[in-house]
Amino acid sequence: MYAIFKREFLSYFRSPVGYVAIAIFSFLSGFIFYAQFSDGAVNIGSEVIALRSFFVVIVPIITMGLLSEDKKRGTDILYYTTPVSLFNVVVGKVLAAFTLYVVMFLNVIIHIFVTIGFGGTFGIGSFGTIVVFFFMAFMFISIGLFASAITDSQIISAIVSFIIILFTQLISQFAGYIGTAVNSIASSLGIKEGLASSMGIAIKNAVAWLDPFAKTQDFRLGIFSVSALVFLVSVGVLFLYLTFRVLEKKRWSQS
Amino acid sequence: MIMSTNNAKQQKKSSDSRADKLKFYSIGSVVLLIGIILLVNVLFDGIFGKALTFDFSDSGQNSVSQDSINYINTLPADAKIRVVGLFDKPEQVSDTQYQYIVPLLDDYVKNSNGRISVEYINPVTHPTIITQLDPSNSHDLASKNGCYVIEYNGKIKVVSPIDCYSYDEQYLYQGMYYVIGNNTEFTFTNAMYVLTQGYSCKAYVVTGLEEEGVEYITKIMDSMSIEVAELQVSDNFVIPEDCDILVLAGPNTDITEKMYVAMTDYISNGGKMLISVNYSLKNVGENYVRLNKLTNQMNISIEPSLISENDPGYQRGGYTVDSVVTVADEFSSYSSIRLLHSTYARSIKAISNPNSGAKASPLLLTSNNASAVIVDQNGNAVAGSDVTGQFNVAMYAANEGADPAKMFVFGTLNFTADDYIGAYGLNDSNVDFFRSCIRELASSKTSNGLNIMTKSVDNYSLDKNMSTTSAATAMLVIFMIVIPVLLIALAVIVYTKRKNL
Repeated sequence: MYAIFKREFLSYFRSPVGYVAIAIFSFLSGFIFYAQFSDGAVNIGSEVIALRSFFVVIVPIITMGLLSEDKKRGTDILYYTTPVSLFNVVVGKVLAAFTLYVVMFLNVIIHIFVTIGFGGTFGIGSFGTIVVFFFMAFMFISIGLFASAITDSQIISAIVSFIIILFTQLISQFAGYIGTAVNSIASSLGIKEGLASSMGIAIKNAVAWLDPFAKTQDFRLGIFSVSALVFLVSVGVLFLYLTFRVLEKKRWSQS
Repeated sequence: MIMSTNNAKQQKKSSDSRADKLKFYSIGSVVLLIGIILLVNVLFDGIFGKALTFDFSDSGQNSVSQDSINYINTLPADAKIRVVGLFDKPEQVSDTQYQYIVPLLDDYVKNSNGRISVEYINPVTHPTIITQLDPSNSHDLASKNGCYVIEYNGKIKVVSPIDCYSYDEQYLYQGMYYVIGNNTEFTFTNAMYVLTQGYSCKAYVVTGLEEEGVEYITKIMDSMSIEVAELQVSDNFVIPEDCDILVLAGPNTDITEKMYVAMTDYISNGGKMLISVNYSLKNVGENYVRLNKLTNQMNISIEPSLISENDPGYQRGGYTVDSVVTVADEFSSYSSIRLLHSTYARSIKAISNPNSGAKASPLLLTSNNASAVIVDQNGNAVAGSDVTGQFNVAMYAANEGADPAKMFVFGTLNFTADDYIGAYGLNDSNVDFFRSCIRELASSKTSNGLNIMTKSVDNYSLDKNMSTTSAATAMLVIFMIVIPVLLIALAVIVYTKRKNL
């Protein structure tokens, strides 16, 4: 696993991908930091929570080639022929992408020191947002890895992960539309107005419950919810397992 | 030949069968995992979700205090307090007026052992909620969209999000007053307290004399389980019989003759009054002749002069009209600290005539080196500055007898005005002193109520001396230009060197 991790992590810096991803992250985090700094008040928690919005841009960049590139070159045959388990391959690649995120996050660490140096505060509430940021990074990297596993094209992989991550950002809006649609359909089927409305609300709440952004929004207020972290880990593990199954499929479908 | 074809077919069949089994196992295991994950999350969220949610905010703004928990625990186990938000529950509360309210209400539920429930019901989609909460429509809930309604045993109180904050009304920021204090817990717990315990007495606040605003003193008295109602100035001004306390806070014009007669009658029958005036450019020409005639009956006189504090040790920021004042020894128990805050104070004097049965006492005092000056409409001193000594900024008077008339007269508005209390918050010592005065007037009728404090709003301000415009520009250059450009340059170098490998 360590060999795969090392190879993948160093490969980010043997190509422009790692530098470009870090540059984009630096620019975006720098913009948020500067906007707060120029207002005379810096809340690192708000900065970190705002940075979640850019997973949709950065995650596809750093995960698009993780498995699809090997498929394209045909080197993925090594997964099946070397004495390394597929599990180790998947975990090693996720860890490499995750470590790149840690490197990117050094920008925010610098912002924290600057904030403290300029008389600002960095409380435990802000620390909570950093914790949840890395949990979300794990979840989205898992999604990106899955997108990379289902195709041999880096572009398609990036588009798929972009769409999935974008969808997670818009779940709450979709939930509203779905709730309204269910309400309308139920009403048109002759169901009583109160019941139809309750059905719409129930469906809306059920869909909105899946929104990772809504679950973690209050961390910036100092609210630390363990169940939100459990949710993020669960979804991350699910996509890792899906990735594992996609790779495993090649083994038995070839047989 | 035929045999080898059969073997191949058999092998293929066996292989297909194994592949089908693996495919079935693969899909089945994914479906099973999704089911397990959903189940675990739903159960975890439902059972441990609230218990494993922690408030790490610096001021504890998302948690109810021990005072509130103690009060909730005194309620009967079967008590049901229903909090209904008349709107859809906000999906994201950050940077909205609900950001300190929604999480705190969740914490009420968590700590109430089922006594408190919180719901969000939008009257637009569920119109019946209006008549359900307020059958007599006495609160006009249809117009209270965005507010919370607290219901207990058929009685309701309406809480607007605006009630949950203290504002510095001297500073507008982006069209809004700057929020300086979080009173969410104060507002909700006191509203529940009043609903469950009932009001102990009733105060009337006189309005219509160009006064400076009475919103905060209304909130404060309400939190002391005193029902507060406004008493409008009119040609038929009458003080209601159920008036236990009459408050005249910050009038900029004198009372009418009709009011004078009514208030004289009220005082002579053992009425309790609190009066506050000041000396500002709005009222330098107002001598409050009738109001003075009223206070004279309790041996107190409101002087037409501005107190100028000459002792630098008493001045605040070097201003003679913004100073600290000392609480008189007799009233030291009214406040935890002896030095309170006064601005633009009018001198209050004791007179020995005409009521020999009333005893007037100094309440708040200047230093021994103050003076009383008379200023013109432009704020220029025209007389009186050469006489120095100690002056009263507030006085208290009480008649003798079993249920005597009582009167507090303040020469400053720093104990009653909205702009002062809004700026300094409900924890301020002046507010604490005001509460003590109200308790004295209400005597045994009021309970001590609850002592819920204003919470500070999290402050992320940088040192103003260091976070200058040039420092901000440096941040812009370093974090948005230098670092990203250096990284892009590295990317170009790596690409150039390795493109042919």
